[in-house]
Amino acid sequence: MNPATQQKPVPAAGGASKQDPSVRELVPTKNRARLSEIITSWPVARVIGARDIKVKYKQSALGPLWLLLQPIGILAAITIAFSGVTDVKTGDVPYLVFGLVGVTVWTFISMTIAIAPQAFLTNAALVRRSPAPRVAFLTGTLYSNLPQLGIMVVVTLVASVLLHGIGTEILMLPVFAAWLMVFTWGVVLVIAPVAARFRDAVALVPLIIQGGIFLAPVGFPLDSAPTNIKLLLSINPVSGVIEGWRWAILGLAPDLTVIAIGVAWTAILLVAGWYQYGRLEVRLADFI
Amino acid sequence: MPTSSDFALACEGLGKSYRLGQELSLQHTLRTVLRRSRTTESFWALKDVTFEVERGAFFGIVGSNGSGKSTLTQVISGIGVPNAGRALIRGRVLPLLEVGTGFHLDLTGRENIELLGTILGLTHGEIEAELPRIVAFADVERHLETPLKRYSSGMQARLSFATAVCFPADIYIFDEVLAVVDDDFRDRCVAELRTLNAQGRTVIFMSHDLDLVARLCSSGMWLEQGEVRKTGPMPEVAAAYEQGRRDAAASAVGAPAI
Repeated sequence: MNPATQQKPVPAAGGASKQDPSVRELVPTKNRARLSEIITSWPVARVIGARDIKVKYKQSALGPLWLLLQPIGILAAITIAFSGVTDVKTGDVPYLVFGLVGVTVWTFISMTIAIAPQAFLTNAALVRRSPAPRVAFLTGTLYSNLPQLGIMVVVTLVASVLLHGIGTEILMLPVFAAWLMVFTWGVVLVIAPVAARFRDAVALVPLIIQGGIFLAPVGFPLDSAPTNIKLLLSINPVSGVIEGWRWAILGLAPDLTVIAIGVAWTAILLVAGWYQYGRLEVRLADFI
Repeated sequence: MPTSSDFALACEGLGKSYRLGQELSLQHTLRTVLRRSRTTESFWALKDVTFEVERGAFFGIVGSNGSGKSTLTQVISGIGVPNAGRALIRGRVLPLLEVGTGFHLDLTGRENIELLGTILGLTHGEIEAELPRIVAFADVERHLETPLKRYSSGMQARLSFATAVCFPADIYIFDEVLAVVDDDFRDRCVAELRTLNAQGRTVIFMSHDLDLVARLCSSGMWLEQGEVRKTGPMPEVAAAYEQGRRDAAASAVGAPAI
């Protein structure tokens, strides 16, 4: 195969090189991140994510079965805690289905942000020695948790059909699924670059995850909380996403204020996260 | 502005600095909060580096350890950002800065080739097209479906190198990667690099093995302490580098013992 460069006409003068599209100029910059990279780096994110999935279950006796066992474990725990011990009321919705929706959303968010601080650190060799687009490592964390989300959505939908029934609200599910993706990506965008610079984030994130399951309406409805506690929970951006999913799957009318707060959070995370990512990205190879 | 219109790489006053000083720590944080911290110093790993590589050149960069070769490869590969000057690069760059970069030991040979190819910006089709050649070159036909952790270090190095040279690019950058393979494979690599170069691709090759660089490269540059000492035809650069090393050794011997 012939290198394309040989056939290209030679620019007449040195000055023409700037217009030559094959010439890239590298200059000092504080931020070189381009939004288009999010899309163009998708193939890289896919292989990184696929690699992480493959590696996760290699030399594991149960392998991908864990995709199901992990959320079921959490579901069992919250069922005992909220339905058994504190006797949370979920109206005419069986607690199992109610809890499943919360666990589905929460598992995806928590599993993704659990690996987010390591997104650059585990790929240190690639960050330091290859020109791979760095944003791909962030998108890759989402990709590697998609199989689990898929399985959980199927389980939840089957359980809902059997135990509760599904209404036309289900047509909104793609919208809320997209929101879940964008929101989680925004969280990863904030955590991963900061963790590369300040390893404190590696210690902080498990704390957020442990507390988060109680400070988000994963195992109980928002309305079951006293007013002042409900206010606190409403500020949690995860609350809006879970409310949205319950609306779509279970037909439970959400608190629209909570949804609005969640959307506002998502926008803040994306804008602030992208700016911050860009600032740190240029020095990433020095930090890791 | 590059002097020649037919350049593959042109660097102009390129500089790269790092902050000197300690890593973050609680002690550091407290000092900063209590305002007893010194201002951080900068260390210039590259200083005013200006040179040009013509398209189709086989360009060697020599220099002792810590001369800035690896920093330079990082900057021209687009991994790090320069702090001064600029670099112009024409075409697709394929850097191999370390043997085995991006490989995962739990993945098979095939999966690793796919992974590395995608990271280097190739499509699935391009990777599939080059796969037989990579496998033959690395001599790993029977081990393609074996996890990399079962490979010997020589096999890993061969696969790494084969993946890099077999994928299409306009500029290949090799940083000290032939040090870990046996003589037989090194000769095949050298032959392959010559073939690539004969096809018109630009090869930038850095090493502190002067003999190898002098044997391979037609033109080159001597880098020392982040600064360009000499650029030009390789024999001249090699002679200057050798003279420089002899001078350094002589002054070290001549220095009074501690």
